[in-house]
Amino acid sequence: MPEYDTVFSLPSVDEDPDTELGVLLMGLGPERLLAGLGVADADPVSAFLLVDQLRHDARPDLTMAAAMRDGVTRWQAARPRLAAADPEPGVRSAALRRLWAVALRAVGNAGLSCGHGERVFLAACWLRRAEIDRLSEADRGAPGIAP
Amino acid sequence: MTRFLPDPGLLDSPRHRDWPRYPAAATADRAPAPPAAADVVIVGAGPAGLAVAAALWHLGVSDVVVLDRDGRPAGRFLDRVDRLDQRVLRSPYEHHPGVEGYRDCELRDFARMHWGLLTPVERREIRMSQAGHRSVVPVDVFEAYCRHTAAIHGVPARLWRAEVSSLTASAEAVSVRGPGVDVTARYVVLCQGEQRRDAPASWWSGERPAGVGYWDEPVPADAAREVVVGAGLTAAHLVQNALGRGSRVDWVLREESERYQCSDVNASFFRAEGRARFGGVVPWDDRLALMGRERRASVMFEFRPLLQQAEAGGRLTVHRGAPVESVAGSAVVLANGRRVAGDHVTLALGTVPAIGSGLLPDDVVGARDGWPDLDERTLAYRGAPRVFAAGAATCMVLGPAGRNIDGHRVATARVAAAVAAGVADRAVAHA
Repeated sequence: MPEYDTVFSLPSVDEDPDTELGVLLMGLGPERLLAGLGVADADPVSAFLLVDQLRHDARPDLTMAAAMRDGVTRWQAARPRLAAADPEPGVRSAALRRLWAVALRAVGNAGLSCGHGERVFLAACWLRRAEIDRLSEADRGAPGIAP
Repeated sequence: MTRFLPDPGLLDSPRHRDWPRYPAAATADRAPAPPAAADVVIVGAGPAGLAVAAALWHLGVSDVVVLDRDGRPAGRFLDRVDRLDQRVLRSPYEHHPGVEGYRDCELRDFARMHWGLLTPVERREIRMSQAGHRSVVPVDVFEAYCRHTAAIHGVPARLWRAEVSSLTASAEAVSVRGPGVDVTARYVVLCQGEQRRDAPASWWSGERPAGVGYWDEPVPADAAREVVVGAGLTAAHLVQNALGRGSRVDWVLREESERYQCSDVNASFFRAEGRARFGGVVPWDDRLALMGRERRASVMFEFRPLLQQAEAGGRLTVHRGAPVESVAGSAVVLANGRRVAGDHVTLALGTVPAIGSGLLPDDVVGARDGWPDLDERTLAYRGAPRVFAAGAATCMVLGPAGRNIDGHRVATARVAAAVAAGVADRAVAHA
């Protein structure tokens, strides 16, 4: 049996940039994910940083609440197709990167017509669908989202 | 035992890569000149000034004016870095110009977000920092992060290019004046950073000799033999750049040897237990001694292979244990009598903190051994309680890390809390 190697082994640095971003998105609150989904277009990083600006009221042309409303609209339009493409899994992986890959694949299989940034945020929302659903439902009565 | 050695490839981190410009917050309604009155004026928009502005934003203090001689967030800081062609900052990822307790987006997360723009070596540094190891931050990442931090806290809309020349403090307000600037503020925060340290007067008489420059000045393109004086990271960059230009280099060190260090020289003072070695009941003389001992010049490990190879190859001569006695022409004369001549001499003698001298009356600055007289709880000048300091001027309260980004965060927490409380008190009084 080979001697145990104590050399520190680093995780791969060759992951797809979306995976690194996806793992970051998995740690955000549902409000930020929904707002990001609302403003996402081609580039997910732009959406991420735009939401940062909105949370700080740094833009005169858009509010956090409006971005979240757009996010709810997109979420509710995409959700049935996501559910059909990725029925409830039996066992969820504990590996964040694997979870992210599964979610991204689900978005791809859903056949949605959307930009790269929107796909990334949809995947993040799909992973957190229980919280996103609750927040989207809340939007019907408008507390917390509608101004 | 596993021994970790930093990758010399770090020194090749790209600079000015094509970093995306994200939608900017609008600044169109900004007046051409600063207003006549504000709750707070921040002097200096470097990393410390940015941290103070962000903290005040989070504490609800919005009537803020930022005055900066370059008019750009972290502009002079980045200019200096680029002058040296420095590609990474030695401050680790967990230290950033944000504010303790108000971390909107961590510097490390910001870098990870841009994974596709980073080199494998830079990505590895992030993994190292995630694993609790020392790391360094590419200048490109830091610049983009500063831009983002400024944008989300509304700094561009409240930032004016201005040189402040005087502060007049009364019990009720502080007048901030300079060419084209006259603002009456309830509070002022000085975030002036550091100035280059000039050569001792004994090194030459009269005007600075021809063929002698400082680290923040350009080197003549035709200099084929260069002399660099200094033992720190700045000097190492100068040597590296000269070698890169194909020059022959003489490196003059006062110490007996180079001091290669993995992390920032002040890192042991980044933590609360380190800061406790300063402040409070610690006698002044003990603090001075600690500063003298701990704030020594050091060079990142990454330079060692390059410098050792150059020395072995005869392109670099290191004059160790050789204090400079005088400078004449483009040559230095050492204490041992040796004369080291080149086409150009560059002095990298470190920096001195700007402590408010020249802006505030001397009795208000209360300078002692080059350090201002500050209230340790709030970092306000004892002689002018409406004027505060953040950044390098706080070192005798916060320890050597006061000049680092981490120290800015600690200083900011104290300053912003005191200022916000004062602003809120007035709001209540006028309600």
